[in-house]
Amino acid sequence: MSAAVPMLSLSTKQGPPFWVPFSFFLSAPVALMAAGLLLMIRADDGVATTFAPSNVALVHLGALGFLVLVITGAFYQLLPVVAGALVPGARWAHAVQGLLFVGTAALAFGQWRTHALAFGWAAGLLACGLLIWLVPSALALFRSRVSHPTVWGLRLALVALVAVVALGLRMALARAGLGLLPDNFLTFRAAHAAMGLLVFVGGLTAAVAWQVVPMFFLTAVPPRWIPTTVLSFVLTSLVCLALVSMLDVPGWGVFVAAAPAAVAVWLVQPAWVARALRGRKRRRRDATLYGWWGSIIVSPLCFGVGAIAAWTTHPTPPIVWGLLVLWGQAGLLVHAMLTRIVPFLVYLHLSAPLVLTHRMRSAKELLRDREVSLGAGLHVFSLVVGVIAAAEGSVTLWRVFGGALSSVAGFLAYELIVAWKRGRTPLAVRG
Amino acid sequence: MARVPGEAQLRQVDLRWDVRPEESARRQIASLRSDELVEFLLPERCELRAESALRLEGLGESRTLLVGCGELPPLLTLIGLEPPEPLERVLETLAALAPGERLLAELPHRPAPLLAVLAKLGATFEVLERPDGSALVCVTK
Repeated sequence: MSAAVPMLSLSTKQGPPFWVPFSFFLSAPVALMAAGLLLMIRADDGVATTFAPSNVALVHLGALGFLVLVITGAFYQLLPVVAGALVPGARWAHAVQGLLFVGTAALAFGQWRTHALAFGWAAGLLACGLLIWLVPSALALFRSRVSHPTVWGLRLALVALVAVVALGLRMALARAGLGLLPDNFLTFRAAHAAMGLLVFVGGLTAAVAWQVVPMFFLTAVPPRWIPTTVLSFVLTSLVCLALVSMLDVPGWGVFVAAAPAAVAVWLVQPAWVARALRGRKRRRRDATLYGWWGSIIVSPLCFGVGAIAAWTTHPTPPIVWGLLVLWGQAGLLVHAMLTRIVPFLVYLHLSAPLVLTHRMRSAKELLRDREVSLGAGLHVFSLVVGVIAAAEGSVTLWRVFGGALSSVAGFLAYELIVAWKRGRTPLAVRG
Repeated sequence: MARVPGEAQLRQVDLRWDVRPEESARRQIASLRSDELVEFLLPERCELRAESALRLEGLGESRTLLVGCGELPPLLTLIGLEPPEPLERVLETLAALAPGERLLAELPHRPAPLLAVLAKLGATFEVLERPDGSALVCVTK
């Protein structure tokens, strides 16, 4: 048996139409902009207590509005490549996007204003949207005959998502007046957060990286023990967190349950990505790497701050941890991947069919290095301001963070739209 | 693996275990159509040289030799490039060709997105998937 994970050869299955993943990607900056505006409006709430209504709304705008919307859109594109299977019912993709987008807005509004009706709508819309996406995606993934760690990682991520959504729905329905919050609410909520941010997002981004990093950056594939360790540790945490969510344990109990996944996702996986990127076969300048390096640097901090947050009752560490995980480790990675994958998709779907008759820009020219660098720089700046604001408890800095987050959202929208516009506009007609 | 509509197979002949590889290869070369390309996998000891040989290099313990009767098309070696550079290079080269002209591209794996684009563009193409996972694509404009 080989000691390294084999590279998947690209499947012949055709991906979805361009607008399926792209419309999901376009929703992400809107959610980020809403988060930035909310930060500026309710800055005084945010720094006071960990679970202030505006903070809970912010977390869900980031987690659902940014990360989950991008991930669901990317799934339609990713599955044919890694699993050799189209997501059945891709024509429902725009309905999924609408339901998730409006559902996220309703949830954030409900959390911010403690509005029972909004919680009820959010639960219904998000459950429908996720169901229409999740069932066909799971069918495609579990029927796939491809036995690659990335495919196993995606399967595990879907199982984790079902668990996260189940816990989230129970809380949303209780807030809507349809049922009661669980007796062990604090543990239940912490398990929901750990499952979502660590097991689902962390596990999924790790699994995708085993395929994407060697393919896009021409690095060595991971040795087999990396996916084996990450998958088994993440699965262990998923089971432990599911059990913990039914018990009443202190904060450190949740941390212990989450620890295997935390070690895998925030220590082992970034160490492999760093090693792989340092050994790139073609070491040319590539601004999309800044986001990867940012995420690698932030990952061990997520582990350290997460440990502190679990052992303290002070409101600051959990806020800093949330920022580092959502906007740092996962956010930087997703932003970086968008700036890499969107030009590729635009070139493939919009430029390539015109190449024989028109001179078109290359994928590298669709989004220039300096634009990607500026986007990554703004992202890192906003993260640093956010962390300092949370640590200092400064309302003014929290507002500055809101402004910075809004500018990243605006710039991300610019990056996506400018790549699309450049990709469909020929430079000249061939003679 | 399922093929893209319009895809034809480029032929590869494995002569690594043949007792008389030179003789077998010459017999195959003599029967080639004027526009046909064949890649031979040859054993180490084989001294075969074709007039129109495009490439002769190691592939593990053996060697490969690409031969055709007519003028061989230009070869783009696109292994070691980041996606979507191989796709861009093939399409840009294809755009510069006259109708009926061909190009050959050697890629690190079966290039599914490229084949889909070529099918959309109405180009004809032949693909050879090698045992090591790399692929050879011959495109006619």
